[in-house]
Amino acid sequence: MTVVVRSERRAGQDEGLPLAAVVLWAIGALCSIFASYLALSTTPHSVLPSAFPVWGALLHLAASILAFIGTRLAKGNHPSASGWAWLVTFFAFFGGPLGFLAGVACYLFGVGQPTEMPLVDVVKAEMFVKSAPVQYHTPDTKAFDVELREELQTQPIIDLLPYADVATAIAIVNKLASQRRPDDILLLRRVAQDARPEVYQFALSKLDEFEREFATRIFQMQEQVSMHPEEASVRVELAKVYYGYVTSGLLDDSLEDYYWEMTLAQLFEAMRQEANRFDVVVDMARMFLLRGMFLEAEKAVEDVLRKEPGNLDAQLVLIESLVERAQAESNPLLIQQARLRALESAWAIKLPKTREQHPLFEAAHFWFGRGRAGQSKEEAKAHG
Amino acid sequence: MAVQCRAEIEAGVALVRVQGKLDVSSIADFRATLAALLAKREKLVVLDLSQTEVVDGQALAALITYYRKLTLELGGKLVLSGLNPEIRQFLDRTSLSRVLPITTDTHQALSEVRA
Repeated sequence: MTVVVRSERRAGQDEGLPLAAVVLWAIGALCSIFASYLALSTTPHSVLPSAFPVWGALLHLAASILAFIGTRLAKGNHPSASGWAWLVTFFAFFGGPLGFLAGVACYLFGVGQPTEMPLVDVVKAEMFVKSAPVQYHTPDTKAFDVELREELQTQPIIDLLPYADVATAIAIVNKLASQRRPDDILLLRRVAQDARPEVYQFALSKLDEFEREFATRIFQMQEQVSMHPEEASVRVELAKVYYGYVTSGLLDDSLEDYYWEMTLAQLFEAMRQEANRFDVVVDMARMFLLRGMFLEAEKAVEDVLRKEPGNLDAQLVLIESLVERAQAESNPLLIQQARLRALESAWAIKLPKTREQHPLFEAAHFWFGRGRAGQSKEEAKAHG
Repeated sequence: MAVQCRAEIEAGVALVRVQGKLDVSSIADFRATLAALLAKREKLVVLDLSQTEVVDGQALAALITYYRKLTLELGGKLVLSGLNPEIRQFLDRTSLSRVLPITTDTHQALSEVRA
């Protein structure tokens, strides 16, 4: 499968060029041209020595400085501003008037790389996904291979456990306990029904450990709520602990229902105490999603989006709900609807800025070792 | 004041009148009433809150749990009616006024639940 992502953004399309930068460039260009004129007009036509063109040199220097400041202004606070400014200054200093103009032209044509990719582009990119023609064989060995590999990840743990010796079974329990994902906890609960006492006791002890962790955390947060009953943020924290417990895989269905309701109760109380907690409304919508209340979740986040259209969490929950409802109702039109929502609203997902290490990092690593080179001064001091 | 919940069934619609403060101290009666309606498989329910003074988060959560069971498991319908301004504001804050059907009086609620 080939994925082609195209961006239709052009240089300077989104960010306008500041007038101050244009003025500075214009003055700089004039300075540079005049400096060249002065320099050339004092060029000796004979072998006799002539005076150094001081004014020409000063104007040339001023032109370079103006090129630097103008480019910094044009690029604003962008991380690449200083790089561009030095590049244009280099051209202006070493190339004279032509270099100045070339530097500015290079900047104008070169800038404009997108810092974020709107969902519109993502969806458009999706349209360029080319799938290789599927070749059907009889039997379809490739598909069988994929299926088999997926099965192999969980099958030995589920079915072959009774045939494993005690040491292996305990190693499996340890592995599941260390991963601690909800699916692993569910498997651990099945292992707790193993016939061998060593195995089920060990699995039970691990489950008990997790239970105690949640119980302790819930108790602590409940104490906090009883001490600060009017503090909405404490209730939200308690709700988060409940949410973690509900989704941990440790609970039976009836207990899950109970803690689901407790989570909602804390969220409602937080919203009663503090108005305009849109983040809490989105959390409530997530709770609705957890129990298959798709329409209710969508209505709640649409209400949030009406009041705060840029709320990214609400947008994502809405799309998640539409996609999950599409699967639950086997209705592909809802996926189309999710895409349309993204297109109509031109929602944007901010891409993280690349954090490349400075070239000096390697040198610092060489001299001071990996630990210190990557740390800030305070961290390094704290670690001695 | 303890809450009083009375459920009457009229022409296939269960009308539940809640009187008093619906909070954590009085929620057990409210739960019991709603659980009884679920057990009877009453699908059309109107919750008259015109005589309800207060609804707290715990009660609202219990109501949402009931609403989920009624709509998703029984395929039923719930309409709230006669909310006082304080309760209405609470539902607005939680965006539940967009989620739950709400009417101003019981007569309107009965016609909406039958629709």
